[in-house]
Amino acid sequence: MENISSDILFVKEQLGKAEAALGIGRKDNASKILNDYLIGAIYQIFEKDTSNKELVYELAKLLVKVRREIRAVQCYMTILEKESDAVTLNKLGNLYQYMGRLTDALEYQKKAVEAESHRPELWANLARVLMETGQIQNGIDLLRKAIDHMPENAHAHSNLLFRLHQLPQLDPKMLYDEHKKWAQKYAPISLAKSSHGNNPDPDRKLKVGYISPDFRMHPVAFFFEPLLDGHNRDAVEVYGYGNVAYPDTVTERFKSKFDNYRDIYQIDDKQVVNLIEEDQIDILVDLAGHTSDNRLGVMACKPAPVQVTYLGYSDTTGMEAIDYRMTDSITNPPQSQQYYSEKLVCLPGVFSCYRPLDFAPSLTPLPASQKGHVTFASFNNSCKIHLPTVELWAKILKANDNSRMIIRFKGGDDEGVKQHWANQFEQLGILQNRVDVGGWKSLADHLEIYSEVDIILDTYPFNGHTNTCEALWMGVPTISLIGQCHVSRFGLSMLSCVGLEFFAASTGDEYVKKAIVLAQNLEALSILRRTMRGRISASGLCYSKGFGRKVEAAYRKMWHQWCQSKGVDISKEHIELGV
Amino acid sequence: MTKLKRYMDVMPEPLAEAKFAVESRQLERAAEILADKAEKTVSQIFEADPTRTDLVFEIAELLLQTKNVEQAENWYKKILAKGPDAAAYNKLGRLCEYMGRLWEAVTYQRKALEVQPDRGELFANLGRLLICTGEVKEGVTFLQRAAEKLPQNAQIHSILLFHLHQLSTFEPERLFAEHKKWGQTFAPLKRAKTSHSNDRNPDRRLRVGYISPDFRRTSVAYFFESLLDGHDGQVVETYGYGNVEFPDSVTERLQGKFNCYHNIYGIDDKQVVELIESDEIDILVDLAGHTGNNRLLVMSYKPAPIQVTWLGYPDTTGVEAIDYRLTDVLADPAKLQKYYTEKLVCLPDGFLCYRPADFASAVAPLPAEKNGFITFGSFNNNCKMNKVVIGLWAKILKETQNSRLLLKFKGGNDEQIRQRYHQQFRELGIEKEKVLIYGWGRPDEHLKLYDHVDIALDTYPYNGTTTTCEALWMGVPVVSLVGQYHASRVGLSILSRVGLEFFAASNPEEYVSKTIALASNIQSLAQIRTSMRARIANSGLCYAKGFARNLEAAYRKMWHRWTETE
Repeated sequence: MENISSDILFVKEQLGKAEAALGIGRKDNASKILNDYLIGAIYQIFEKDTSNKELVYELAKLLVKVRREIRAVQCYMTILEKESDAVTLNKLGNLYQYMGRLTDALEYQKKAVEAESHRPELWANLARVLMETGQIQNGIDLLRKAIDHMPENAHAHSNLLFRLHQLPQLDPKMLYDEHKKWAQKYAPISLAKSSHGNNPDPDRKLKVGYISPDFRMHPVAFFFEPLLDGHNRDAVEVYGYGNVAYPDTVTERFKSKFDNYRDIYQIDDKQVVNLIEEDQIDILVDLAGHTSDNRLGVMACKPAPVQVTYLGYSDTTGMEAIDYRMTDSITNPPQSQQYYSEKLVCLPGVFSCYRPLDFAPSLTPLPASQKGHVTFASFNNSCKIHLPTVELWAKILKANDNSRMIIRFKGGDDEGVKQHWANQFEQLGILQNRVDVGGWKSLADHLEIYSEVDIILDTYPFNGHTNTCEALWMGVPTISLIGQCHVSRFGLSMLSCVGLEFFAASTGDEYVKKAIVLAQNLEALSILRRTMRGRISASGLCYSKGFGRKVEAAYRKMWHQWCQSKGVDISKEHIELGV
Repeated sequence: MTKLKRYMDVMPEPLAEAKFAVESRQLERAAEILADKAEKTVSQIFEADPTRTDLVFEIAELLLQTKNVEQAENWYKKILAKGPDAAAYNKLGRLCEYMGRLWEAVTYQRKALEVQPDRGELFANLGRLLICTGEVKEGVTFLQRAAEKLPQNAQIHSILLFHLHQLSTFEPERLFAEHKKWGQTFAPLKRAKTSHSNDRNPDRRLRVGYISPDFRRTSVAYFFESLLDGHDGQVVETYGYGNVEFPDSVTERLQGKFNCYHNIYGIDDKQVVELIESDEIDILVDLAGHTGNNRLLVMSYKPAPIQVTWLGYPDTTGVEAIDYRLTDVLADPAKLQKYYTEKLVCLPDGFLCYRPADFASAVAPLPAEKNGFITFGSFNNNCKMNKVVIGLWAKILKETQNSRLLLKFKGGNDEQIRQRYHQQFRELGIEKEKVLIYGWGRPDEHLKLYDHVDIALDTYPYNGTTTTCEALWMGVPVVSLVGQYHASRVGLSILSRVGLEFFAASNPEEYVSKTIALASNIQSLAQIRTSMRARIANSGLCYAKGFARNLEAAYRKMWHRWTETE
């Protein structure tokens, strides 16, 4: 008995050291600590007394952080050999999903649900994997069931709202109702502060706070950073409230760019609300909507007199406490206002400003000119790809026997997933060897693949956003199918910004035809590729100062509205200033 | 047929036939006739009567048109074999210049001048040529003599004013005085129309006319085309008045982008003025200042109520009929207003919007990584390279191990010119192996040469403009020496737009030390190179629509001010 407790102490100490090393970014040191001897010792402790499961969990978690996922899998397997409990099965399922081994993930999440059939969190996890493996409707149904059993869990319900956009057909009214329902339940207007002590001087410098889980290596950051860079610090003082679970180098960079940065991770809503009020924020901007790790709970209390949602979520929040949503007139034409609880504010031009990655490689010549055949591609999340889209792709491939398609998404390396795709294409008459399905690499590696791609085919109804921009920066145009909802209009907005609206199609037939026509004109494609970066520079898509000014003008207008509501007289000159 | 008949009245038949063939673009037929009969005939006549140089000049011209340069040269030499002849020397000089044999051309032009020392045009030819070979001071002296001999010739005086900016020292008061003198002499204010009947509605669509010799493949077009692309058709209606001597594909492309285009080459000033008035232009914008083939004389009549100068010239026009000059606060800080006859209007995001060439290749990897040594480069016109700048470059080469300097300019293919530059460097302790000199080739090759350059060095006091933008677009940072006046501040303006103002130096020591510091950090050089295009995209330097918006706002302000007068 003595032996075991001293062993446990030793093991806990080592695990603590490894955690500390990770905390200061020393993955190599942490990995050294997690050596075979330590792992063996932990297994032994567990063998002797299975109540020490927690140590194995801790070990597994750290092994994942140092990128030794296989060993982490072994940890869970070691436990499962002794007992088949739901928690472990679930953790293993999560790990498999993280590793992209979706078939295994599915198997284990199913087992977890079977092992303990009344844990709604487990249904939610299984639902996620179902959606990632193409069973969107099943996944959503299961997620709804889970939420019904977790009435207090606002985040799980947010996740459902997010996932609803991955259905093959979108109904804007249905989506609006669902979002309103969420808001009535978790963010009723009664929670919102209705009177604010901010000084209603219409012309003073404004304090703008941005609240987000994504001040890190994440698509939102690619679009937010140029705004931060472009802000005029004489017009606005910029605060960042970061709900970042895993800070990285990008987080550090953001911290230095804000005038003031506050880490609000794991700080409860009430305290965050106090912080924002103490900072006397005039305009609080949510950048997450219903995506994960959002802090809509904080927005619900309305700590700032003017609240805005922007960029991170492609739909309404449903919340009355949020006054505005910044967008553009292409992604949100005027008739879409009826489906938003926020007032739509259309920025001139396109609603986001893109910052091309520093490590983006230079453009290569058009691959089709050298290969002799055209290569299409899609790099969007697999949840965005539905059968009707695949049918369109098959039609495009059929038009020219030589053409190929490259498809990449997280989980694409999984054998089961690959087989599923091969079958789908075969049923549509396209041979396996013409479609290359694979998994997602690191971003730097991923960008190299554009040297093999001639044309990107967008997904529908959920268009690509970051991917479309990246593709453009790498010289590759996207053919996009337009729909009614915001998510079905990103493509059109991006393409219009750079003068390539011709590549947006309003029907499936047009989508197919345009792709075929483009693929037949290699010379035009080649010129397009070469001149793309010049075209983008000329378009202002990346022009951060200009974008900053547009946003500040919008903020100024919102501020004037609020000042007016406080009885301050806004003269005509003031209104024009804000324009 | 009557043309042919007319020719046959004044010259032997085969020659007349050849000339007619050339004019009807039947070049192959012309070449045949020339080789077959024409040359023999002229030869016979000339041998018999050496005063018939007119026929020799005629045939030489035709030979040039049919690309038989060698034979044309022979003919000129035939004249000179009989004795010195100013016209023959001059033509031979022009031929050599065309062939890139600049130093030879200088010799011939000098000889022409010896024979006819009071022909102003010959002074001008020689002056220009000397400047092209890098002998700026001497060239400017000849231009001054030309101007003295031809006091009525506005164009020659303009050319002189332009080249004064290439001297290594600047005297702003003197330059201002010279420009004002030009204005008073050739574009007196009393000639300008004082009352215009344009419709004074302050908010209506404006008719903006752009008058320029440069709607063709040249630097100005790189910057102007962006504006034309970005203009909002609901705010302005654009008119182009092109004084283009040799139209090309760019001319055609630009023509299609204007709402309305007129070719005004060869049309006299009064007629052009009438044309602009009948078009009811509200704002007439000059894009040339005192550069070649300008139409400042048209501006002097003030056919439009508001006149602006922009882009093509780094200084005041001196023409009082021109109301405004578009610039920015970096290129022209407020205290410089006293050196301009126009009122300075500062555009908020810089006075330039650059349109990268379609044929620009991708940014290549940093050459120093493979080479193991740093290559500096300057692709500016050699008339901007003076003793001061060369001295700084020599210092930089001395203090960086193993480094090279790559120079590229028209005339760089001329062996004698190369030798003169190598000599200058040698006197400063730099062997010729360290200085590589290229001439002009194809435009895409020009940009591709940046694949071999790590750091670009700007010239002083006349900074590069297009060259700086091109270097940046090809990933190469530019170190620029900043001075007090516009021509020495363009580098600062461009670098600031893309966030690289650190590379602008305020004195020669800083220029040298910043370059050396940059050269010693290969890693950061490589990073700067790969991220350059993203950096430019992030900035407003190429944002055509935004630039046009700023310009249109400036036009609107000018317009409002005018509608409120009287």
